[in-house]
This record gives sequence, structure tokens and C-alpha cells, in this order.
Amino acid sequence: MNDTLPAEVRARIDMHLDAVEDQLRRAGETREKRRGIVDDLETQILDMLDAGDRPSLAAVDAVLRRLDPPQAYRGETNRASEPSPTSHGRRAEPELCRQARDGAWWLGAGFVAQLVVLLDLVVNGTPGPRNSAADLAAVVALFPAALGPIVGTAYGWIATERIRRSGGAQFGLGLSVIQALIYPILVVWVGAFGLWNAGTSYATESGMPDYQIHDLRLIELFGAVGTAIVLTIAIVLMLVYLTREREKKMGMVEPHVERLLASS
Amino acid sequence: MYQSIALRGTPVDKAWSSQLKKGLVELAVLAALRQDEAYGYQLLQRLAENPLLATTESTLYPVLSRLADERLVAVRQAPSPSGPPRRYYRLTAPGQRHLDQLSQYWRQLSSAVDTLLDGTPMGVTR
Repeated sequence: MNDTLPAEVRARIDMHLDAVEDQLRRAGETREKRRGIVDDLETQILDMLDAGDRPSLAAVDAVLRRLDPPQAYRGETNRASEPSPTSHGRRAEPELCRQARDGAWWLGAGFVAQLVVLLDLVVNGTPGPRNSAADLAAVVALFPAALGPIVGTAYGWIATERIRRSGGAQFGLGLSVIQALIYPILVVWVGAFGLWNAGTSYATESGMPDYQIHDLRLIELFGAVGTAIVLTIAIVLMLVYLTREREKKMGMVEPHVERLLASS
Repeated sequence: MYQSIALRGTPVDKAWSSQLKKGLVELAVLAALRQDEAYGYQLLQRLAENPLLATTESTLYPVLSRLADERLVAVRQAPSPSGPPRRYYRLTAPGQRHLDQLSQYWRQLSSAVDTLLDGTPMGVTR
């Protein structure tokens, strides 16, 4: 690092280098490769400045304007990674994200375990002798039934992030998004039905006539479904909004915004 | 809209020439390193000596990084008067062999295209 650079000049250069590194990270480049590219670029900027030890901010801006915008590194890196016909390097075929695959296993195992627990509740929930085999199976299944959804959902979120950052090297985005959202949305639906049911149960317990109870059950059904749909849409829209905001912060800004930032 | 650039007085489709150049960056970089080792910016300037081979840093540095990954070029760091250590790239023995293969392929390709353009029947040596 050149310690003699004025702080504001150093900050301006670092801002550009950080934006380039962000783009490289998004393209799925390794830390080592990102470091090498950014170091080469920093050397170039300092060579281009060529104004002794105290370059002005205007000089830095002029240099940065002559460089490719950070967004160029995302595209060029991907293209540059494609091997030439005689290249030693071979670009690997896109592969299914490991976390998406593991998440699917966890969710699947969790679902089966939940069915076993449910079966025990049905079999042993009625009066009469208890089925000890079903009880034993339920006890064994209890742990994966509880852990499967949690681990599967966590894997879904991690896989979604990794696939988006892989620059096409990994696939399975649809699978991972479903894994990430299915249980949270299920919780929302169960919650909506539970709340509406609690409300109508309270009303029926207070001596309501049968014909009104029938109407109330219909209201409960439509109310719960409506609430759950609205909440589901709200969650999905919020996630889309948060993802876009984060992308903006990570340097996926348009070139004209980047230039504006550099010249401000 | 048809975008064109002037190539010795002749307009050439910019997208086409740009794609062609991108495919040749690796060959140009390796060939430029055959003379002597160079750091990134130096290499950029070396290529820019011929405007037809000029490229930009966002194309060159990732290519250099990949070539280093594939051990076709070696990297050494040396102190720089202007800031962080410079990363000097040097052609390795596998890199030299790779360059020979690429040059041979390029000459064959170029000769085949020349033959087509000149209208000489294929297989006839001029």
C-alpha cells in the first residue's frame, strides 16, 4: 500500500477496487483469484496516476473514468473462464449444489418421520390397547421429524445463496428456494388456521345456534385461507425486495450510477 | 443499428471484431510474454502498441489469473515504487508448449481462411 496517498484518494481507489472485487465474488471467483486481479488493477491505477506521491482527487477520478466499470469484471471473468479449444483447463459442467441436494434429503427424511409420528397419533389416539410398535417408531422418528425441517430449511437458504453466487457453476435454484420457503410458509398457514380456529371455537362455546356455527366454520375456512395467502405473498415480496436491495449494496449498480459515485 | 469501426479505412462490424479479439486474447497474452516477463499494466501497454491487439484490464487480468491457475504462467512479486508489490508474469515451460500449440492452430486457421478469401480451391497449396 502506498502510505503517502491522501486519505480521500486512497478511499476513492479502495471504493473502486471493492466494487470490482464484489463483482468477481458474484462471478464465483475464488478469494485468491480475486486478490490477484484486484492487486493487478491497483498497480495499474497507481501507475496511471503518475503524479508523484500526492495525486489529487481529480486525477484519481480521471484515471477511474478511463477504466472499465466494475460490472465489466463479472461478464469478462465468466467469458475468460471458458477454455479455448486447445486449453489445458476444462470448465466443469454445472453441477447440482451440494447443499440443495443435502437439504432435499433432510426435508424428505423429516417428512417421512413426521408421517410416522402422525401415524402413531392416529393409531394410538383412539380408545383401546396401545400399539407399542407404533409408539416405538414414533419415539425414534421424533428427533428427525423435528430436526429435518430445520436443517433442510437452513440448507435451502445456504444453497440459494451459493447458487446465486456461483455464476452458473451450480444449479438447483428452484429446489433450494422451495426448501428455504416450504416450512416457513407452512408455519404461516398453520398459524393462520390456528388463530381463526381459536376465534371461532371461542364463539361456538358461547352457545351459538348450529346454523350459525355452520356459517362461522365457512368464514373460518375462507378467512384462514385468505390470511395465509396474503401473508405468503407478503413474505415472498419482502424477500424479493430484500434480495434486490442487497444486490445494490454488493455493487450491482448500473454503470451510470457507478460513474456518478466516482465523480461525486 | 450496424456498429462499425474503421480498420485501415475499411469499416468492420464492431461486435464481430470484438468477439474475434476476445478469442485471441489468450494467444496474444502468451505471445507477448514470450519476449520477457511483465506485470499486468505493462502487458496491457505492450498489447496496446498494436491497436488491433489492444484490450482492457477487465479482460486481461482475469485471463492472466486463469493462466496462472493453469500453471501456464508463473507469478512473482517485486516491490514497486508507486504502491503495492507488482505481480510479474512469466511464461512457464507448459505455457511455452501451449503457446506453440495455439500458434500452430492459429496459423492453420488463418491460412484456411486466407485460402477461402482468395478463392483458391481447398487443398491447393499456393
